Amino acid sequence: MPEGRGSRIDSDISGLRPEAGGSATRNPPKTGDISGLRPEAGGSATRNPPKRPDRLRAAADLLDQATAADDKAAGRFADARVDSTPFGISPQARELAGRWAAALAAREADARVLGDATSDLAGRLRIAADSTRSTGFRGRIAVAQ
Amino acid sequence: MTSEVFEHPALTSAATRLATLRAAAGRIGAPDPVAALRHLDCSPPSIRTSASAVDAGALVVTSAQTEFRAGVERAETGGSTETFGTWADTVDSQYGAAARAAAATAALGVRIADRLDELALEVSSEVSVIVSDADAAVAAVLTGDRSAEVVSAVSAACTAVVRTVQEKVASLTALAAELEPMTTPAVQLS
Repeated sequence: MPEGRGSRIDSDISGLRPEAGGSATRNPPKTGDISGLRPEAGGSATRNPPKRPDRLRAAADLLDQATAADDKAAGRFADARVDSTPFGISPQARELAGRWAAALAAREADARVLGDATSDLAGRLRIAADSTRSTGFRGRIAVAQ
Repeated sequence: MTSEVFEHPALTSAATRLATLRAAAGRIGAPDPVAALRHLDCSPPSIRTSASAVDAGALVVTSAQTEFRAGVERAETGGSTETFGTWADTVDSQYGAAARAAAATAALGVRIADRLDELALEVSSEVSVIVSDADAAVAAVLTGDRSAEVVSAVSAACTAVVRTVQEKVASLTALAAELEPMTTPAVQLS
């Protein structure tokens, strides 16, 4: 399991996942998802199917907020740009300035890639929410690639 | 005699102290010690401002990660698939990588600014000693003495200033090497 969300949850049960925590973290499913992090079709969503599209759309809205934050972060990194003058005029100083500029560009690229990935996930959730409502499908929702 | 202004105030002070040595150097054709200082001139506050913006960006990435996690939790209660969760975990880990890289970049930016300050202050201090040691020879040259002893002393003082600046400038290479790993994106999603 990659570091981050899953591993953090494993080590912290103090309510970082208030919505999913009840069914997923504290009561992991007996079969299927052995990580116990995600309820499958038998979780609370299945017991209350009409709320699923709403939840997926709400989730997509939250991911949109994350995307907006990613854009904001990219803007901060762009704002950090500075010309080489403050570093000095020597070749060594110019090299240092060049690497600082490259580091800022890398941080900006990081934020933009995260924004794109998060936006993509939000879009997939919306597609899943809409397809669930239009088809009346009550099974497991396909939001994966 | 007008004193030269530098971006870094410590170098402006050093240039003021070097004024008479510079004048003597001009009389005997020795290297200009004030011109040497230009190679170390810098503006650490500007770099700190830049680093501060990077730090602000790092905090925003962390904030974005919190919102991302909230969205994924909600999606999971809405019946999202295991594949969705797996990909979300991957993206989440990359949020962490991005936040760490941004924080590290900001911290190094601050350290670069601090180091440039140190170098300017060190040069200023060392120049004072060099000037002090050459005071008598400088005065002699400025009054027309061209004996080998005073000319050599002034020339050596100028060379010492140039060498001191060169040594400080050379130390910037180590900072550039530290920055190198941060010049490529930390986020790897494909």
